[in-house]
Amino acid sequence: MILKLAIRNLFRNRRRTLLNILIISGGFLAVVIFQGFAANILDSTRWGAVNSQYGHIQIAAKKLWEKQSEDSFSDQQIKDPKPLQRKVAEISGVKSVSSRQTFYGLISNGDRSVAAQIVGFEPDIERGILEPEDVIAGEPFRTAGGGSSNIFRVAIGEGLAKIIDAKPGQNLTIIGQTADGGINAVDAEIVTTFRTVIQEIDDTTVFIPIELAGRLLDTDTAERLIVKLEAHEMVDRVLSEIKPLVGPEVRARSWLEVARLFNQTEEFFASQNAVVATIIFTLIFLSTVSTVSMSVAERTGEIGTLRAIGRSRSEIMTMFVAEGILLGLVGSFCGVILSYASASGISHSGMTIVIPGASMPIPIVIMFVLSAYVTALLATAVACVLATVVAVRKALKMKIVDALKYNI
Amino acid sequence: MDNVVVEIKNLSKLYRLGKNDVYALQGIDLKIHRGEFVALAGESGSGKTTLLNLIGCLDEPTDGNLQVLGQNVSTAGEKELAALRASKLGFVFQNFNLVPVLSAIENVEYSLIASAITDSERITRSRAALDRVGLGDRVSHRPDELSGGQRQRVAIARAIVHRPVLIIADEPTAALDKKNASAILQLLQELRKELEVTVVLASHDPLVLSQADRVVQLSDGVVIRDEKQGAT
Repeated sequence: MILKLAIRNLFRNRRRTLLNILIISGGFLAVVIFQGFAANILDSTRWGAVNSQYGHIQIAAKKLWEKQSEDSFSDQQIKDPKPLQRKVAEISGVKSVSSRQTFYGLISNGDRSVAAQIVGFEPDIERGILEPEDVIAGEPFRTAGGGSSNIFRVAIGEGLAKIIDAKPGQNLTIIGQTADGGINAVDAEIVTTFRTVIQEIDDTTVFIPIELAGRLLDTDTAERLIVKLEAHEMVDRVLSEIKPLVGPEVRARSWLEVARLFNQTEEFFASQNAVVATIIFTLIFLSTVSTVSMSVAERTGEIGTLRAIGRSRSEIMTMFVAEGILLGLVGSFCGVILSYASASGISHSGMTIVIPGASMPIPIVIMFVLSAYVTALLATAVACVLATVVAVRKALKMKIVDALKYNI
Repeated sequence: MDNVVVEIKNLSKLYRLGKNDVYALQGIDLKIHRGEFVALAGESGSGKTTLLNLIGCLDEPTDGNLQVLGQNVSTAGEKELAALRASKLGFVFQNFNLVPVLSAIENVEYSLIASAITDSERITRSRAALDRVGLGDRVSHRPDELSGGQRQRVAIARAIVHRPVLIIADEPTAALDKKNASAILQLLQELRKELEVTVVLASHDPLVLSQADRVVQLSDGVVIRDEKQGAT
């Protein structure tokens, strides 16, 4: 009987109920789309961060992690990295282990010189750093199995190349400081000009083979080892297996510990999602308070009658709460359909967005986030029930004789 | 004493209107016995509806003692009074006060919803009540599909379906034409006899007052006349 009454009461004023359902489903849609959009940005960033920047796990000297200014270059290096690299590569789930050396130096093509970040890496192992689609001029950056002549090649970022007017086929001189403090220079051929999604990298970075970095810095050490895994979920397990393999001066860290920007982005999106969801559910709450309040005002006499014939306050509250829940459920159901359809439409529309710091627009994709649907469903139900309780409480506090004075 | 349904001693009801205290009822003494058909009469503002509301346990007295079916209304809790209204009292209102989204039978059923009876018994009893008031062929009609007289019959069916001891009726004929008013009064009289129920109603309609076997006349919150009339 309660459910029957709830359904029929919702149909009493169809236009008002429809408007409330539209507000609820619209709010539901906004929350789901916003969270799906943020989740996709985060997922892309996560994938990009792991693939082209951090790997899943990084191994480096303890002093590099601590970054004390008095520590020398060699204190911050992994000495003799190859045996450790081989041992880590044998752990189950490890896809690749490569070494990296990052430092700052000067680059010159004869006419102009400019400071740049030089990243020495193993291009044949760590392919994610420069994907074929990142190449805008020249050829894919590889050392092709490593003959010594193949290491004198560099890839230069688009922005940096513009500054010194460098093109593939030209020579580039790289000047840096050796491990023991001397100045050294090497000449290499520009074989690639690249454009990643991060403009800062394109404007500042030159990629070179790790062997060339070793020659320039006059060292066979590695700044860090980059470990890539078959799946994100393996990080904790592999990390625990790596820890006994490294010496006391070396530490392994998961990418999440290293990627400050990603962590900050994730926290930012979490806060933004919470703020948006709070605003939307407050609007749903207020809209439902308004709808139920109007309904209660019209039915005050009915409330008085029901109490007169012996129905308790809690029974009448249950009747209204059932209406609120039903309203929330119908609104949420419409919201689910609307959200799913809109998410598919937007994801397939080919729309793009330029995010700050990105060098090119990225496609807008609304990811399916089950937790967003569940959260929206629960929050809608809570908002509707709370709104009903707030709207009905006053009428239920009224004396029966006063409520009966309202026309039925 | 056993057949006393309502016992009122020195009953007062005070309303505070701004800074002024206004007595709606003052020093009322009254006994109503089982099976009586009592009309509370008086001009508008005389206190008859206030007294009816107190007898129906819809309001609390300011002072004095009010016993309804042995229950002290002044000291009883809200739940006890709600249980008393649900099980022993039946209400008929001037404007019928039916739930507009429920059909005739559902309106009657709703009165039994908290009773410890099965769904089928609830439906059977509700149908029987509607049959008794002459609406057996209108069970599925909603209030807006019924005439005023038919709506009041549904309200009466709702009032009798749980076999009450006392029926409270506030101006039950005021919203009806003469023919329907007369029929409703006739029905109440019949039910009073059949069910041995006590009927207390408030009215200033001479037709109603002529049908009652006892008329309690109020003026300015006091009883000025309490007379039995010839048996009907």
